[in-house]
Amino acid sequence: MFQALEYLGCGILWIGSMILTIVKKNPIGLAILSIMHGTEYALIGKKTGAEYGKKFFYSLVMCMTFGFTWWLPLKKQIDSETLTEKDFELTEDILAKFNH
Amino acid sequence: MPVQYEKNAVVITPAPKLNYLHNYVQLPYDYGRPSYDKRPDVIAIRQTVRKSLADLDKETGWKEKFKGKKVLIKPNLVFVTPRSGYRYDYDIPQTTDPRVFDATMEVLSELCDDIIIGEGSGLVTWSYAKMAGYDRIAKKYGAKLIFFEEESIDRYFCPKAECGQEVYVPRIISEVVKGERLYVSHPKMKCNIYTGVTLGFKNAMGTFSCNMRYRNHTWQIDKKLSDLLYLFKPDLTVVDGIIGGEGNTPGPNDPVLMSTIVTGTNSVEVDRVVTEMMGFDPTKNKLLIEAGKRGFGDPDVKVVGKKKIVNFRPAEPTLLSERFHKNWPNVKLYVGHTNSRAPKLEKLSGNDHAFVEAMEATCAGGCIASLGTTFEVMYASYTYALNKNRALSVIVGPGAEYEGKPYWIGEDGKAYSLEELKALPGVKLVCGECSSPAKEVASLGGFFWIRGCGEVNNLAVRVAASMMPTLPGQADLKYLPIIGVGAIRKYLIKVAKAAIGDPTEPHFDAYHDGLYTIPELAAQNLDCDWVEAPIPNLERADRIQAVKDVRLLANFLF
Repeated sequence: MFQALEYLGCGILWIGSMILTIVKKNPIGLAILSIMHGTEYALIGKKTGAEYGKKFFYSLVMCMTFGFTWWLPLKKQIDSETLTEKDFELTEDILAKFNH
Repeated sequence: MPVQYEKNAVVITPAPKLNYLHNYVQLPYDYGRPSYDKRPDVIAIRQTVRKSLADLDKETGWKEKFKGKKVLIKPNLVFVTPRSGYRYDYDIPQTTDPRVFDATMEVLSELCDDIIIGEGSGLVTWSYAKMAGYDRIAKKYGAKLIFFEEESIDRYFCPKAECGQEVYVPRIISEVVKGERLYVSHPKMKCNIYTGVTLGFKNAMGTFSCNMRYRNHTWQIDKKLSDLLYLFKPDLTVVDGIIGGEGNTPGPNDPVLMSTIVTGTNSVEVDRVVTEMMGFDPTKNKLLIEAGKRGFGDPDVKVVGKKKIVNFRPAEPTLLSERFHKNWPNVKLYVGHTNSRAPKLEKLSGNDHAFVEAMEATCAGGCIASLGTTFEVMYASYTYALNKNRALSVIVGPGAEYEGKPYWIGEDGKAYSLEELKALPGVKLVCGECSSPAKEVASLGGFFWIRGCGEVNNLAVRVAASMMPTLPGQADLKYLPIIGVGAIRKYLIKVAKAAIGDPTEPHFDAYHDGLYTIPELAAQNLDCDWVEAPIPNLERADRIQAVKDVRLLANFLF
């Protein structure tokens, strides 16, 4: 839900920037959004998308459109689900909590 | 005809000692990639499932029977609830572990080309399948994924059935009934508030459309589900016992480390073995008693492997238990029934606790079970602390008769008249269609009279409303869009099919709990397990009714 709201917020930013560009002939909004999202894509979005298994074009479109609201949840999920051998050890704590 | 095995077996296979508590509800992001395949838990689960099915094959030769056949495999998808949905720090083990299901699919796909994964959770299966990752499993193995509640229905008569003589099933099940497709039941090892446990053949509940589910659900569910075995039964059962689930399922349940896979060719016998492993006496489980009475078990079954017994916390279809009182100290039950199973009210005070329990148990699978589930959701909710001490009077049943007047028995053993119920403090919930004599007692001008016979969604909404502010189960809002899309998708498909005269739901009168009888059959059909009974062509008025029979969520809400 929050992600949907964040996407909605991004959409509003894009639409606002476009209106600003067309009506006021001021492309500053569009320029800022494009540069910010383009930088995010180059620095982290492309890598995160590939790691998650998303195709290049999909990652590009999503990152350019939604910026960090797209790649940050993916990165969080990747981090939480990247497990090591240690994560699969049956520790005393786990046994105490779930064993009968 | 189902597969005929010369001998049946149940195989119990322990999994290596590992922590399996990662991704037992939802597949990880890297499913299908080498990093997933290399995970120790995935390797161990695949080895265990493969070993169990290989051992079963040695005993029964099931693989030969499955080779080249069409297969329908049914997991158990109830709610898919990762930990973020509730205040617990663990995922809710209600759904067949997708890692285990993947392992079974791997074995089956080596034998069969045409595999369909089918499930009907009764709610929004499309969404749940996506949330758990079943769509990715289907894609990996080239299987079709279908959702039973979106399927058009076929009708059958089962003359030998005791209470489920008229049965409507999704069309794909007809292929199973007629022996054109084999059926694999893939349940999770867990308790159930309606039937004690929900395993191999109880899993078939998910093949019913929403309206069929509510038929005879309240106190004859054991008979209804056992009767369904006349129509079709699993040819293979694989029980996911890696992480078991204890407590009031289908409310949020608690994980149990079982690390076991149980497979078998006779689902009644598999269920018997697993029930024992869960610490319950299978000879006292009504569902197994009913299935046994109908001759669906196999006394000569061979059990291979050691039964690991772990005492699961039982599901409690009662508001009178110690645990319930501890969780909800100010929720009080007032119950009175006049049905044939109810004890007779002989005094207005001093009734003992056993009497109140017996009165409550006469319809334990109806509103009481629905209430038990709902309160379990509220207990697990983030807002529990706000509601713990809420004063609530729950009135169930039409009242027990004493000198021509109805009375509801409180936990103190006193019988309460309508006037006395009205004078009780706090919100008063009146539950069930049969409790209409007490509807004037319901708070908010009757809004808290919960119509329908054991209708859980309708009931849950009103219990939640009585505890405002509250958060429902699955409170992780990030899943709301996918659940919303799933609900709308399901509704539109069902309405469209009803409108063209190929409905997905039978007509249903949910205001009573009567038996649905069938027309007199020809003598040669009386000894059959089932008889095909095609649904007559629907006229315009029937199609309009069929559209009305479709509900977006609950039977009485929308």
